[in-house]
Amino acid sequence: MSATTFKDLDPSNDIVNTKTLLHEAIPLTGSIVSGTYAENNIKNYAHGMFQSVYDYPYLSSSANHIFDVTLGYSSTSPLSSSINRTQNAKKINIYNQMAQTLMGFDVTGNVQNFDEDGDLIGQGTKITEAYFVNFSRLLTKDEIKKGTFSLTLGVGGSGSYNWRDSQGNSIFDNQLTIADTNAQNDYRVNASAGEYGILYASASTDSLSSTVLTTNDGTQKCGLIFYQAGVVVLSGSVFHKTNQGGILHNTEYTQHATATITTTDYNEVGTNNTISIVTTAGDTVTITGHASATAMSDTTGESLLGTFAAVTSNNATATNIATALSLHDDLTATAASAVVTVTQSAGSAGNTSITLVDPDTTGMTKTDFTGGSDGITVHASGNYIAHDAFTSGSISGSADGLRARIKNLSFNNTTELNSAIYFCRIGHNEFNYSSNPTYLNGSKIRTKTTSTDNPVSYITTVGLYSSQRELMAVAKLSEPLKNDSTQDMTLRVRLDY
Amino acid sequence: MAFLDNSGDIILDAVLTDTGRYKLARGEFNISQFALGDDEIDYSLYNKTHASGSTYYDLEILQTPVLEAFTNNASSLKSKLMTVANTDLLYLPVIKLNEKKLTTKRHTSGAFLVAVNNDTENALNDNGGLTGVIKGENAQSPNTTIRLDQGLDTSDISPAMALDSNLIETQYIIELDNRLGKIVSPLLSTSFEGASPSIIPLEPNFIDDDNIASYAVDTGNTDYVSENNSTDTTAEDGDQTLAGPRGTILQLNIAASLDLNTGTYLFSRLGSTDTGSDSFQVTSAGSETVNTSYIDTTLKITGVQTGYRVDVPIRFIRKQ
Repeated sequence: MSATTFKDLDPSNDIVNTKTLLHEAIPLTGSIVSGTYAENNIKNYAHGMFQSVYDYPYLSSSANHIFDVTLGYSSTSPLSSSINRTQNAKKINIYNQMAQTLMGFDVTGNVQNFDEDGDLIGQGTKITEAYFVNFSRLLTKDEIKKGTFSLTLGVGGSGSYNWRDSQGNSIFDNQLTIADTNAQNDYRVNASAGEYGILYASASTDSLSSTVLTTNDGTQKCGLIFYQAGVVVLSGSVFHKTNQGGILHNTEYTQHATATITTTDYNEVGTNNTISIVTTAGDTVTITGHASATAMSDTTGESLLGTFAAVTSNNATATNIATALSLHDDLTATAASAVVTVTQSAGSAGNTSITLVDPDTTGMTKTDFTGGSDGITVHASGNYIAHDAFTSGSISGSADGLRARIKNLSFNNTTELNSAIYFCRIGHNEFNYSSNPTYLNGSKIRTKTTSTDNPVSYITTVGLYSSQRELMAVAKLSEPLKNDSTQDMTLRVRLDY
Repeated sequence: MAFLDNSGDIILDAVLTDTGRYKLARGEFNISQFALGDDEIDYSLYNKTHASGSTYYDLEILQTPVLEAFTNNASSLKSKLMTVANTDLLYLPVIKLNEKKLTTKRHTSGAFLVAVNNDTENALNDNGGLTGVIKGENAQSPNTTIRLDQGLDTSDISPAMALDSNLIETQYIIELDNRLGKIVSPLLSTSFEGASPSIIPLEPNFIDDDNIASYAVDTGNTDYVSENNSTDTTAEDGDQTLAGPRGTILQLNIAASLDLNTGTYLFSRLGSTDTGSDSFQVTSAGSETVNTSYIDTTLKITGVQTGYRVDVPIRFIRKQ
């Protein structure tokens, strides 16, 4: 056999094609999205159709475009038919563009609106007002990995830019965690832009109020995420109270004032001992010690003739006090041992005093009402985002409002690597000599002393060639590999596309 | 390119070459064979007299750091490993430039000069001509020829002995920048029609993305490759450059490209200009000073069987 420097690859045995998935974690903190760069990383356009977010001031060549924010509503939304809407046509156009691109058209050729649960045939609830967060290819690569998306979104405060509302409440006093929970096992394939999952909201553990959601069991649908398209469709309902058609709790943002009454010696509590409480409505509720009766004279408004039985023990007396007070509609009271905790029915108006009339030896002590607050509201104007943002706000201004509410955003992306693996099989007597000029000294092989010595060569490079012997790919070993006649070797070269 | 991390497991760093990407874009990407290289290895570090024994002979070689893969197809696998069934070889053939004859010598500058047009040819060849000048426009004889001999370059074995048939190079790959010149037969002249024979260049197998044309010639191209049957043992006195057994002879000429023949654009872009004080200035045989523009390049010749490669310096030269 003549000397040769090439060896053919057997297509059936030496070349294998595989596909592997590579995932990267993409964390985006809210301070990058709004704050760190004083809005210099935010690019607004003259057309006002969307806003671009960069990871660095966008005039710098180091800046990378990371996502766009825009919003819109369907022509079927009640908002679209109202007058005096800012950028009304553009908001409708944006919605339609996103809907036709992502969801496609129905059988009659009409744009398919975003559906809350992806059940297009069932014609369930549609998402007719939505924010759109379009991630750049740089972040999503081939697709967002299902089940990894998470967005912590502040739903408190008011105004689009303000971090605290007029009552001192932060945007982030109440937060939602929005995620495509279990999407890896439950996603939809009936859209024109590929696979998509349902976004669910739950109350963030960082929220001051655990009742930020009317139903906090992880089933609150609040948007869609299109994995291959890299687009999040966030329903306007995330900023809506339930009575406005959203998912947020209606009233539970008020903090109720509490006070305590402690029975220290029930023997000293009698018919000349009274407890007077001013309710949030300004009515006085008075209960008086009694030998046996526990009752409330009027359960609403002013109530001055209630009684509680001061008998048996301090604990029993405390229980009777709690029972009597709870009979009034504006008060809630519970007893734990000898301590009665009384809770007002509303916010800051409940920060009142308790008056104890205890003329003899002290039988009771008290603390006045504190902690009552009206403050933790979703929006000071009631429905700022879901209404004002879509109506009076410009697209870029409302995009500012959404950005300011993003506390954390993260997902994993996926890159599909299509690989061709070439098994370069080297027999024990193959590639045993070298054409390296240093291999010879006057035509004599340096690594041999006598002709019977085994030839030795060292491999640093694998070249993959076409049939025309064009060098198509090169692989380098990290260190020289000794090739002698004592062993066969297989070098596995993987090319990823 | 940086060195590869050699602190842990052996890894393979693989990349597509520029040619590979080019072919991929054209839908012509197909890999059907492989070769192995050892470009970084300096075999002179192989210490057969190491005091600690044979395990240590290649200690320094195995510590050689390896560079990351180059994407330029012409920069990798300059020296390949070769398979020879006979493991008892002590000598391997080389390819060596043969300058024994006046017509195969390089110019004193160290390169073969290719005169790219008629004016330059005449200026350099007045009064008998300069050594090492190839007529790039009129490639007919007499002309300087590039000749390479293949065989064992050792006096340990008599040239009268036959070279192992497995080691006789029967095919050569010739690479030359296609913008500058083309490979032509050294046996041009009366074999072509016309008073001034037209030059029919060899057809390249392919031209890569860097304009490097690759030609293949074998023993079937008798104008280029011929057996070297000389057993002349007085090599120094004859026309043989190899002291040992001989294989084949490769002869070729270079024709200037049309761009070099007709214009100076590439000389301005890729070359330089000789001035009177420049050491590269060419003086014609008639003692006339010829100021020239020139482009230096390399003619790469590789034996397909043995992988042995020789780089021949070429200077394309044009009279100003």
